[in-house]
Amino acid sequence: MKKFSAAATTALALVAGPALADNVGNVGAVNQSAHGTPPGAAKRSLSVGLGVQRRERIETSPNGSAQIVFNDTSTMTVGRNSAVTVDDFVYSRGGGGQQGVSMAKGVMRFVGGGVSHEGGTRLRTPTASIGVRGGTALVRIGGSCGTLIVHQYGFIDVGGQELTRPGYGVCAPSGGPVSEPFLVPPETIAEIIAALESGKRQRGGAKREPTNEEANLALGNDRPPDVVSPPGLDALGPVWFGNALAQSRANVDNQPAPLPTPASQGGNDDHYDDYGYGGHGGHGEGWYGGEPVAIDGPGD
Amino acid sequence: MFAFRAAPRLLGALFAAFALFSPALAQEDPRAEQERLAAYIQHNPTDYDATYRYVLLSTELRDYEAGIGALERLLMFNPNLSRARKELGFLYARLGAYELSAQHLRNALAEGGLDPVQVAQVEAQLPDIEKRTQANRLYLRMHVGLRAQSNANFFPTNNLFQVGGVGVASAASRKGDVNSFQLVQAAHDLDFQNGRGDQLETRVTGYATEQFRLPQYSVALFAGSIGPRIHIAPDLYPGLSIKPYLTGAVALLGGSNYLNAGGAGMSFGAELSRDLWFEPGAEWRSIWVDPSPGYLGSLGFSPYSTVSTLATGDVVTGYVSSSYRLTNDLRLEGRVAYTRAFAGNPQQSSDQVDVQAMLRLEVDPPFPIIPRRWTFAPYGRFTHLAFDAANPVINPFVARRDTVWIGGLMVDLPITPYLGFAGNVEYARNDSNLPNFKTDNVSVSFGPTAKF
Repeated sequence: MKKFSAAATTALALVAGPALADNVGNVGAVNQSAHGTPPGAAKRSLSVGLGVQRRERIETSPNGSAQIVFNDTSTMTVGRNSAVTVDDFVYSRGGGGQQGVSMAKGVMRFVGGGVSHEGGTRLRTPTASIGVRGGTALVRIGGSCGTLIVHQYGFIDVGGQELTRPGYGVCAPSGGPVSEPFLVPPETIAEIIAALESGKRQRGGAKREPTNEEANLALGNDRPPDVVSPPGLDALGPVWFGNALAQSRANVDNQPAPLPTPASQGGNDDHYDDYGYGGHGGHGEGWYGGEPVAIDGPGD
Repeated sequence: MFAFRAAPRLLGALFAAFALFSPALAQEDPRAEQERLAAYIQHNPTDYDATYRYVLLSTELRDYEAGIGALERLLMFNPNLSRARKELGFLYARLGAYELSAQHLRNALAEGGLDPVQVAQVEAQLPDIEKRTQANRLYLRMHVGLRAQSNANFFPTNNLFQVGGVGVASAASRKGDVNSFQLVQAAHDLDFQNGRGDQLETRVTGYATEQFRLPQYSVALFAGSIGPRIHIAPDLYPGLSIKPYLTGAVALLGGSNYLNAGGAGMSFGAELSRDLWFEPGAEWRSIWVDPSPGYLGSLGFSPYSTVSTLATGDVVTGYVSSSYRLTNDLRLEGRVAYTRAFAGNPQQSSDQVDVQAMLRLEVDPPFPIIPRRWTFAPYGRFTHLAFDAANPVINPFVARRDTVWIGGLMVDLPITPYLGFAGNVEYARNDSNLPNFKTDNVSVSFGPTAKF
């Protein structure tokens, strides 16, 4: 039985191996029309769950879009009227890998996974080479900007210009240097998002659309953590400092009057009042109760 | 003898139990389960139950990008899935992508598919997220209430004193008191709007108490600091910043000016990961402390004026603050500081080591409509204070050494997006080597809060 099982596994690996080996991910969602052209094969219409191969070219029409889920859980959403090619993808869990995508036109959103967390992801456009480390980025080709790269998370290098701050981006124009980072206007980000999302009547290739009711049931009501941290040690600091102030003065106020010396035992009872321990200035709280009584000798 | 015989059996049983339960443990390993779900939904993207489980698990594991990819896909299947859009907005906020976060949250509200509980959660945080996209950001927290103390006059525990090295007992005693307090903490960031994230940070604190029985210990404190936070080589060392700053404080005690302080410092922010940051720094302050409580007019200064813990002089502090998010709901905060006080009088010059720690547990409130999490934060503090020289008026042969232990619990209970309650229970004990300073104190405070 064991021999049969081993033989079956070997046979399966031989048959399925080449095809699986070239699969770098799958189509997660797709709005038509969107096509893929694997190397040496005919153009095919993309569908949900379909395997995506290394060096496959993906194209979308003015109404089309597709999300590719790579084997390292990174995702690439190809927006309307766009064309990208998966140049390379090698991933070893825990050991990093390489991921290369060329974009000829359109709009793309890249959300990093295992490869990019190790710094092995590179996106290429006609005017820019973009290194992604642990990151999330929006990329748009066209207009006077050439290629617009918008940072959302992680570290992104565009031709030597580094992006580390979410919402900031650079332009990589044709034949010119990459711009300094600038705050990308919210409208521009909204335009890019709109080009990536399904239209009102599009369903991403799903036979049944997900509903809010089932989402509520599955996701529950747990609250996200506050964007502004709740009070911590910083809230205690002023209280402790206030205590330190009061204690500093109380240390003085509480001390008993110095023990009467032989000279002062002659009846100079005003001595204590002079020192302010009989209520002077409202500070003398420590010695209202009576005379001090010696209980031990000097030293400790 | 029995133990020797039983040990191998016990070990055998432990190994057997481990062998039996280890596959189950492996299955329960959240990371392994996340990978299993990732592989499954990659081939079955329209299995929504599995996708939601993947989103929840990825969020719990703080693998926010994985959750984002899955939620973006759900939105391709249904662009009006406002619940997914809400979760997406909050995940982008956790990554610091506030503009994208705000757009998704606004759209989630506009789509109208959220139930009142979800709407309340979005409305509670959207203003803060939008604020993060602005160049001028002002945050305010106010807390007022009542505070009861068992030993408001910091009287020695056993009523014992030393005077010139002679032990004496006092018939006076500790006095409990209640105060009303007001705490205002304001933080303003002026974003320079460069790609590095540099900003000018201004922090202001106002704290005032009115003691009901012991008005001489009523406190009014105004403190502030200002300085630019500059990110150092964000490409090479992301999250590393330097902040030179000016600091100052004015404090009143019993309605009279008691302490003024001014100085400068420098800190280094090191955000080692999304969950861990350190901020080492050093600070110098020149402080003036009113000596008048023991002032004798024509006779000069009271010998006890040199007993106060705080004294006029220079104070230098080196510190490290840190914060580490252990899980999605649990954060550990800490601060370690060494302070050298150079007073004019060696009896008031001191070395101080201060260690503070707080474990902040965020929990979901019992009522779904309450939009923010509640926080329960046990904390502890240890301080060792050693003065340079013995004070002859207390004991000419023994220099004062104080060891302070503080333990407490702080709670923060927001009810609406802006209003809530907060409270605190604390026990503080000062173990001094001189009976004059051995004190303990229990304090309890509670009152409403507001944050904007």
